[in-house]
Amino acid sequence: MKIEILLYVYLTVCAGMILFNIVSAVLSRIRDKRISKINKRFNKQILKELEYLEQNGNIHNSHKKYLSKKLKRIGNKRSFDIMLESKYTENPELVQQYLHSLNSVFVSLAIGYCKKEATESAFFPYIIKKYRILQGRSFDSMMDMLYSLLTEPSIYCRENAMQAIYTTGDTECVLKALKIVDNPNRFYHTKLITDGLMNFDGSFSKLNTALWEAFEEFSVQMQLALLNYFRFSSDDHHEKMLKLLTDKNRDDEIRFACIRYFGKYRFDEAYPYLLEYADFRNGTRWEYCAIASSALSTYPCQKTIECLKANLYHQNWYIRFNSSQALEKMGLTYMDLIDIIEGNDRYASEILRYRFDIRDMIDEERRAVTVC
Amino acid sequence: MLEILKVFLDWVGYFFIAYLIGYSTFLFVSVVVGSFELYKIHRREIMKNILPSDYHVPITIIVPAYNEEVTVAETVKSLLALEYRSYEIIVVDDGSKDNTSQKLIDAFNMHLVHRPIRRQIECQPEEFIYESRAHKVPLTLIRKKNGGKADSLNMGINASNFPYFICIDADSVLQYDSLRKIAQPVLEYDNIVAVGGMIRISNDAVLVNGRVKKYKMPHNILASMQVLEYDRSFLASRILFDKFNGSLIISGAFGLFKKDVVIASGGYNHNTMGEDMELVVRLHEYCTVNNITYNIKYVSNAVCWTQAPEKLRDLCKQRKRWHIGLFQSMYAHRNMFFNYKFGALSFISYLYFLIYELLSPFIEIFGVFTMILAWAIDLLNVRFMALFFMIYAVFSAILSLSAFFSRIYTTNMKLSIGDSIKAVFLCFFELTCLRFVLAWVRSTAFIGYRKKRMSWGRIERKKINLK
Repeated sequence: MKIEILLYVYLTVCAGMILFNIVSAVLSRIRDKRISKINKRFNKQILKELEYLEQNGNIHNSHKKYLSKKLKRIGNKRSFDIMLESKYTENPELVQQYLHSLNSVFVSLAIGYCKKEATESAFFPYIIKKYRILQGRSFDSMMDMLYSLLTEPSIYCRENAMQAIYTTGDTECVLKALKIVDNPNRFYHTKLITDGLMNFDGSFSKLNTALWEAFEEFSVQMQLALLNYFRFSSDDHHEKMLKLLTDKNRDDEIRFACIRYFGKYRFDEAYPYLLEYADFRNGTRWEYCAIASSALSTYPCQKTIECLKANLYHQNWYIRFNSSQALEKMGLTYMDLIDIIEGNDRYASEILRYRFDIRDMIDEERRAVTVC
Repeated sequence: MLEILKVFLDWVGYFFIAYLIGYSTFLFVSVVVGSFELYKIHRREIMKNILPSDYHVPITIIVPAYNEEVTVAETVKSLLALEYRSYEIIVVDDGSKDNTSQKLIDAFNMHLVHRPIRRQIECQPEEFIYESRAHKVPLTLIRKKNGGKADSLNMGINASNFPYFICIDADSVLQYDSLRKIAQPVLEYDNIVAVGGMIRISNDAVLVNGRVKKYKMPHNILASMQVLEYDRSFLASRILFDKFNGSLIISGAFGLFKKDVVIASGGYNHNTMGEDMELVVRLHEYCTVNNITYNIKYVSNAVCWTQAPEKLRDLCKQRKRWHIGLFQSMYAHRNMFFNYKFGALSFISYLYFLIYELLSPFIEIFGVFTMILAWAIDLLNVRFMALFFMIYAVFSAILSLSAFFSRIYTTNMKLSIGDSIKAVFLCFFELTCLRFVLAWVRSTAFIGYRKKRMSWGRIERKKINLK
């Protein structure tokens, strides 16, 4: 009998679930209809205000009040975004002007959004970034809200806030934000920093100067992200990179990043160091040797060729692989390397043959494209 | 004698009540957690909780192929159309008896190269290598001596140039944004070693440039029932296990792995039929034993479309392989059983797979036989049994349908009323008929398995509807 009671309990759970599924489906339909109504209402309002703005250069205060009230709800803010998006594609300048007129609304909304749960909070910086609401300006209250989002556990919240901060074009703000996210207890992928900084909306030279000045205040991980950003952004960092490269007390990863930088941008003063690192006979660690071998392709000369040729006999795969790649990149011909290709070291010969196969293949594929 | 039988049947009854209540509770918790998680993901997407789409982790896609001349070129073509920047494609032809390699060479105008491969994991030697750089991303074909799927994957790992690799089946199609989605956890979490993607059944779905243009329940009843089954297991239990880093399976059809950890743990195992599960279990064990902090994640919106078998014979073959693979993986890593070192992985995931996956066919078949026995000696309470079965069927069906409709709703797919009704009916049929057929198939899986240990599991497939 007791077992039967248990079965009836499960039967009740079944009925409960059926009811839940039906109610969810009905509610979702009702919500969809409501959203569609709200969208229409916003569309009408925005159109009216844009027209007024175009004619009079400002917007109605009643509209500001209306939005201050309505945009407190995240669902309404979504509808506002959807409706604004189409107008933004048609006339970005006018929409931006419209949004600038709504600054006071956004400032008042910022405080409220900051208190919402992370998923909802993340939407606010997304809007700021999307419509470049803070472009060229940074309001204290808005910035405080963005900084506080940078301490959230949600990566989306932090990333959206960072993206919004990049659009301010304000070096100080970006620097402050980087210091906040540079927290060993909150994982933030270096790639997000490196690529994110490229989206900065202000003067890159000012930003770079500020980043170098504060460089020592960051953790190694953050320094690494910054060095990668410098490598992707410009060739203005020779001296500072060289200083880091030659500092033996620096973390290896930092020095590897510097070697990669000099592999991308030629700086003759760095050459002796690169050559030294690439030459395994100096007793350098294999990682230095492999990365420096790759970088040497930017410094073609007899010394480089001799060093790279010697590296082809090294037992480490990466050193052989990178050296062969560098030799091929420098444009050496089959005849220039025939002593190795036809030599007794199978590993050295094979890796070079492969490089020439690839070169021939690419040439042939290019010719085929040209003929087509 | 009758008394002994009565006591025996009483105990069997208690056992089954405990067993089914355990299973139903697990299913309930997993579907609720899974549906809630899907809703959260859906909400995150609506609220633009997204990482920028132009940040890319370099990935190698490894496509092991054996006698795939019909589909391989189309598969590579679809892979070249993926919306992702930094990746390469390596097709490993495992000594096919048909023209798999030649079809690929001709279709992509590939060139013979003498490429040395650093053999960090053991695998059969290569016969020739072709490459092409004329496409969006580098394309490599490696033809090697036959050695099985695991061996081909190991060759692909050896030849890979990037820190992460993805393995997919030669007859599967990745959704246009699947690489970006499956790589997202790498940017979100520290120490990701593997990420599982979502496998969906493509029978009768229409895909255009990796996008679903038309979705409906497959016309074939068997394939339709598998849709419901996949949703229940993928959506529910995998999401639940993901909550405590306890996923024991990443489907061989679509999974991302960190190369150096896989190499350090020995790569794919040649001697198992379930190399995909075995690798994941081994990664857990390797990282735990070596005190490596690690994360294995599951991403429900990184989608790979695959063909489900439409013939019962093919389905049985497939399930036999899966069951043997499950046994081999669990047996090989039996030290995870009730081992506090592995925490929830041992006491929830391993235990679940042991009782409700590995042993379940035997338990279910045993249950059917005891029922017949009880009926024969007139000890069966038919009314109670019918009620019990009815409630169990309704309960399981509702959970399956909840998982199915949660997926449909949160992925913004449109389903016709006819398909919805079809799902409801087939769901009952799957739970009351197909489940027992497959239980029988799985319980007899070990008969004659040694002979086919190294062979590729082949089922008859139609071409995926790509445009």
